[in-house]
Amino acid sequence: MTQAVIVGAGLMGRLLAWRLSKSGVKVSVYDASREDASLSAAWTAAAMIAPISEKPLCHPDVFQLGLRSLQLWPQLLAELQRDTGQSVRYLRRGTLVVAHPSDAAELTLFKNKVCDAELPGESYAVALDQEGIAKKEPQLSTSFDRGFWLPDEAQVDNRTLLSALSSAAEQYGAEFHYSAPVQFDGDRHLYRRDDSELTADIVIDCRGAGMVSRAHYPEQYPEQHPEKDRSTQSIEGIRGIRGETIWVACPEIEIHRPVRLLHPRYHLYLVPRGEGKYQLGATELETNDRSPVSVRSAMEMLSAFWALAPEFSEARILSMETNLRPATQDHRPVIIDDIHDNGRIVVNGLFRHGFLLAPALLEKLTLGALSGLMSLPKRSSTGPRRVYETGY
Amino acid sequence: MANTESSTSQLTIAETVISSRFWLGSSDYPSPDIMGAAFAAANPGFVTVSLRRQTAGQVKHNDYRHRIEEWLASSRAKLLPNTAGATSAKEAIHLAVLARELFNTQWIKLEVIGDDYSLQPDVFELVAAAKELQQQGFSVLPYCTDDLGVCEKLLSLGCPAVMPLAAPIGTGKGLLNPYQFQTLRSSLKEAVIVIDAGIGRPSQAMQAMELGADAVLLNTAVAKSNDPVAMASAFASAIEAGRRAYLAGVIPERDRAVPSTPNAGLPFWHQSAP
Repeated sequence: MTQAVIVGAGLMGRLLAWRLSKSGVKVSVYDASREDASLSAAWTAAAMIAPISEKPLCHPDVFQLGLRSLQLWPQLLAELQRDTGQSVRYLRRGTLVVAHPSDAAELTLFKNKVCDAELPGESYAVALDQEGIAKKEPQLSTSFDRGFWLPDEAQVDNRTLLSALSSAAEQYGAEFHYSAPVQFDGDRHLYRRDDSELTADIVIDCRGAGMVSRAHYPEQYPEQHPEKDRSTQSIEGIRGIRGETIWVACPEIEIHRPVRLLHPRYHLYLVPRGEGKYQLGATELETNDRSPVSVRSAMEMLSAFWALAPEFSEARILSMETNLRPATQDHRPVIIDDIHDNGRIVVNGLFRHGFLLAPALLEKLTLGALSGLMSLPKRSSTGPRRVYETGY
Repeated sequence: MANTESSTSQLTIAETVISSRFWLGSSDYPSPDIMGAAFAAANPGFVTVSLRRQTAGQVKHNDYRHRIEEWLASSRAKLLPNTAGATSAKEAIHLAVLARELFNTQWIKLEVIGDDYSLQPDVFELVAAAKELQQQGFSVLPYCTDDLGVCEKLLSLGCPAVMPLAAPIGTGKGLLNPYQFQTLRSSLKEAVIVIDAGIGRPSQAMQAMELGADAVLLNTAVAKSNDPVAMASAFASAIEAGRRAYLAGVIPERDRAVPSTPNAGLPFWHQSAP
């Protein structure tokens, strides 16, 4: 039986664990965090599948992969439900994009970057006036007089999904080990756990921001950093970008779909999370710092709640969360195929686009680098290379 | 001083040669790679970095900053930390001192704003901070209004340059008051005057340079364009062209047409004369 070790039980790690164990591979997953306190960016994410909203901010390849993921998510979730009996909430109601009248230039900028020659037709983004906005979301503040509706976009319940994925993988025999940091010995290309080498036919490294070399550990927050020694674990150029979000409960208000609030300095979104709960995020700060949400960020996010709908002023704050997004230097995801020389694959750099990219990357991996896992790999003299280089 | 230098590209500030008259900010690029390519296309004299919203530890453990520093090391550009976000002299001085420790430079772009929304300079706090920082040995480049008295005051405190706004930050409106800028230029002949903020398109940067600005500092117009690398290159050309035009001497405007080709000698020229 082919044996695979997956390092990192985030979204990518769990998707791969499910797919590989289902196809008959013996899978062991190791994750540094506790089972009930995931450090994965996927746990903290708002999990929007929003390629059009992200188009002004992302690399064209990310946009193309995102469009593919938008097609793949429904069938992936249907298959997961067949395997586990568990249904994962998938909200396909599009995205509403608004800006304050004083930031109207941001809507023009958005339009310039979204409705360009590559996207003929009006279907990706429908321009709305005040009345159109009120029709979609009657409880949103009436101060928004222009906006866009992006009908195709979706959002997935990430936390239910993550637990469904690991249950499904476990059904097919995968083993999950939590509080189990794995060290990578860059000189010998080995992964170690408690000083013994992890042996498998293949190691798939999905550590995300856990791979960042220059991590920042404020001493006063030790619980944020269970894994201290990461000195030799980095691949070049992966850095963590801090993001902060706030969850509130506000049963008095009903907003049906993710709302993006354009602003010259922030990329803010509000996402309905069901049962009267809402998540607002996210800051984007260039630092590998996981410490708790700052006063300034909290103030800015709370004022955004208020601006989106005055009813939120009586919402109750449930939690404030911080995490790190793993990003490459060009903000495209990276897949490094090092199977032939060192028996490993690295998948990383999903940045703020984990849910936007994961199904498309999973498809690339299962059709590409991992397709030969059950047969003998062909020898190659090319060495490790970034196999994901061009658009979909 | 600098404005009498005949060079189209370099200028001297505080006895330091600055390699280019195009200064560029480091915020809001789509990715570090695109930022690096935009810097390469711009060939900037200074690259500004903000300490806003960062603790000292966050700046130190920050791969984005490391990337900027790596790029600077391989170029002739200098790092110019700024005090963006400061709303009082005290706060600005604190950020400047932090910047000097972290980046090991005496250069500081001093920015003290009145409020977070208009982002207009608070000139009273600005002057107080400039005085203190000059005394502490900084080379203070203050972001200020285009008021002559304010600029004179900042220069008299020892600031080696002044950086009046063309228009409010991020508006992209260009030089809103060219008359006032010309007053500054003709009154402060020896001073280095850098246009900072409010430039949206290359023609606006070129206009400021034609009118005698010594350099132009901008960020959003490049970083948020559809193609930051191409836009950086467009600005570099415009700024250089504007400088050349200023040195060449622009002809004065007239109210009546003056033919560039003499009419005398053309058939019937005397009949069509007004």
